[in-house]
Amino acid sequence: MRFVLPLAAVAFASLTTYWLGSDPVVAALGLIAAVIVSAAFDRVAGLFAAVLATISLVWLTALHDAATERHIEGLEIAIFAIVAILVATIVTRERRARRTARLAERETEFRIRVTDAVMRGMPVSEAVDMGARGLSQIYELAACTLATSTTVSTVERHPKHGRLFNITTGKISAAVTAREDLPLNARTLESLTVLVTTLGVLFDRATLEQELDRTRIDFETNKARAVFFAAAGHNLRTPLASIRVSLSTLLDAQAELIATEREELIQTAYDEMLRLENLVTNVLTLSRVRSDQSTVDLQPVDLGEIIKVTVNRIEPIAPDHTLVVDLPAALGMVPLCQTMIEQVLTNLLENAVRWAPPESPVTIEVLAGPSQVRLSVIDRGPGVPAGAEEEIFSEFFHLAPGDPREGSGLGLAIARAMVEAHKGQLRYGPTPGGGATFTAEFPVVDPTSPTEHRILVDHGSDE
Amino acid sequence: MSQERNADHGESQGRILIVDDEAPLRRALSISLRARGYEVRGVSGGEQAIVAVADHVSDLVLLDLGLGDIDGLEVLERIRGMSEIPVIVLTARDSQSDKVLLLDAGADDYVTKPFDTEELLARIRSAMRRRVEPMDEVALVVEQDGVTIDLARQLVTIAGERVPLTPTELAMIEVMATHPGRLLTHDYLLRQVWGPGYGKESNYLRTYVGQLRKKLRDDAAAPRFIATESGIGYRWLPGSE
Repeated sequence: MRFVLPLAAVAFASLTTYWLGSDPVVAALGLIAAVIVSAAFDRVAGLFAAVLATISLVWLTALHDAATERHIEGLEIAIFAIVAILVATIVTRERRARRTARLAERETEFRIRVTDAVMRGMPVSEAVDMGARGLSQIYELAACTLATSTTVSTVERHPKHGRLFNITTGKISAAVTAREDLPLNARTLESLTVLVTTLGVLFDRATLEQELDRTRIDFETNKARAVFFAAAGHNLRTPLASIRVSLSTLLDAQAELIATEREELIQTAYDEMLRLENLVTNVLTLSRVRSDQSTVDLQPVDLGEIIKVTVNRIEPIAPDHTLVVDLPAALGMVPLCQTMIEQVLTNLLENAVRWAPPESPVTIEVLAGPSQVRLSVIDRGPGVPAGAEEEIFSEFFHLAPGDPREGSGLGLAIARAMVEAHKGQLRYGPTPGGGATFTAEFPVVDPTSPTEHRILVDHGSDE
Repeated sequence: MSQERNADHGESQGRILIVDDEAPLRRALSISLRARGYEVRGVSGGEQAIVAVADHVSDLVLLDLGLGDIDGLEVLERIRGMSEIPVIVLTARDSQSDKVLLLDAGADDYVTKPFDTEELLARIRSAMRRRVEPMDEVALVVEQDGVTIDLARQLVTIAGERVPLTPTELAMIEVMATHPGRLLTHDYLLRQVWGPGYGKESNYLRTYVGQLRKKLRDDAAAPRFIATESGIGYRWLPGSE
């Protein structure tokens, strides 16, 4: 191509001027145009065209001279040759400068894109893929392999392989194969090496940071787990101690017990056994919800029905409280995990009737928006003192230690874990005029169309 | 809180103050201890406990660490600020450093929940005995299992035969035998025997206790004289009654 193009261009220019019978000045202009076209392709083609053009000009001038009986001026030819070569060189240089600028621009743009992706937390393996793809596009390579200490990525773009270059800088290695028809020159290879080095530094830092993050998360998880089990153990020991003291005293032949004491010890052992059972169940529930999010079985459920069933179950144990249910007119099927929502509601209601004074109303309110459902349990009890609004959700937290109304200390922690398993939020806020309001917000995602975030409102059958 | 006394069980073994915010455990312990002849009073909070101790109506305090109103350790320190009354701590914590902290804060002993009632009773008896015979009244001659320790003459004999002991070994025996039944922390023993600058060198103790056991023909697995409380300290076992 680099020889065919100059030949064709020069031949075209020569023949056109020959047929037009133009004088050598017009011929020279045509030939210079041919040189420019060739030089725009390649430096060698440009110089070759300049040589061809000079020869052609000599031939055309000779023909012209024969017709006009004018003499060939050697000096004129020489000047033409110099001009042709200069033009070829200038065009080539200009072309190369423009290409270098374009390359630099693409390199910079690419570097920003990769850095940005890594900063946004793209895993290093994906970033290395992106790097290999980018390099082979920018430098029009046949193939490119990038390897860091943790990951390797290879991209093939062209079947005709040319020369292979191996670049290793720092903790990154690149094997780049040029296309057979597009060899890499020294300058391109140099800027390629610079770009590979930059990527290497970037990937190295990202690898370290991501490893550090993982370690940090592992550490936090383990620490939280250790704290939880220590607290759980601590809380299991006390009922166990009561049971052991009660039973061993009952079994001790030397202990002089009167009938009422005997009964009291049996009752204590039994009550504490129930407390222990409740505690163990709660500890297991909490660790299951936290460790296995897959237990969230999202099915369209009738939230109104769930509330009614739960209220019916709570009412007998809270005969002095009035449970008020406030549902929107058109509350249709909501995708939630039924067992979990029942548990959340039970825990919140048990808390409310435990702490709110008798005769006070406890309201269960549901608000349904286009993208979320809000379930609130509102009581008129003592509320939560300022500063403890978040603490009440931590495991084994007791607002009134020693108070017989205190439960296992896990109810709110379980409720929050279950709401969070739905990607929702459970928060405390004071009830205007006094009392506690616990609000669970669930994002509503239609399980049949995962991209569409909306509540399934069944307009056909109102409550 | 409640005055839980029972005089039906004949002669009183002593008066025990139970400080526990867990009503079921307080109740079970009260009945259990009363059934063994103790006069029992139960309170639920630290403040009540401090008032009760100030009233001088108890011979021993059973203190649960996990109190609602104030930290159990603070209660212990405040009790120690005004009284030498024996204190046995009920703890649900497993950590040994917590236990060392308790003993250093002045607790006489501790039991970890869930505890064996017989063991608790043994600890109570031991602590009570110490109260009846304060340290300066401890017999200068201790006779136990054929071993005679004459503290005044700095002489230890087995079946009449003198046991050769180094001054450090003698000092160790003196400190431990004058606190029979009491759990002495590493820190306490080191300061008593080696001096105030010591406290972390529990390996010294291991070495000397090993030597003493050999000389007294004691067995670490089934001790007659020195019992090891792993990671915490040593206890001189009082002779069988």
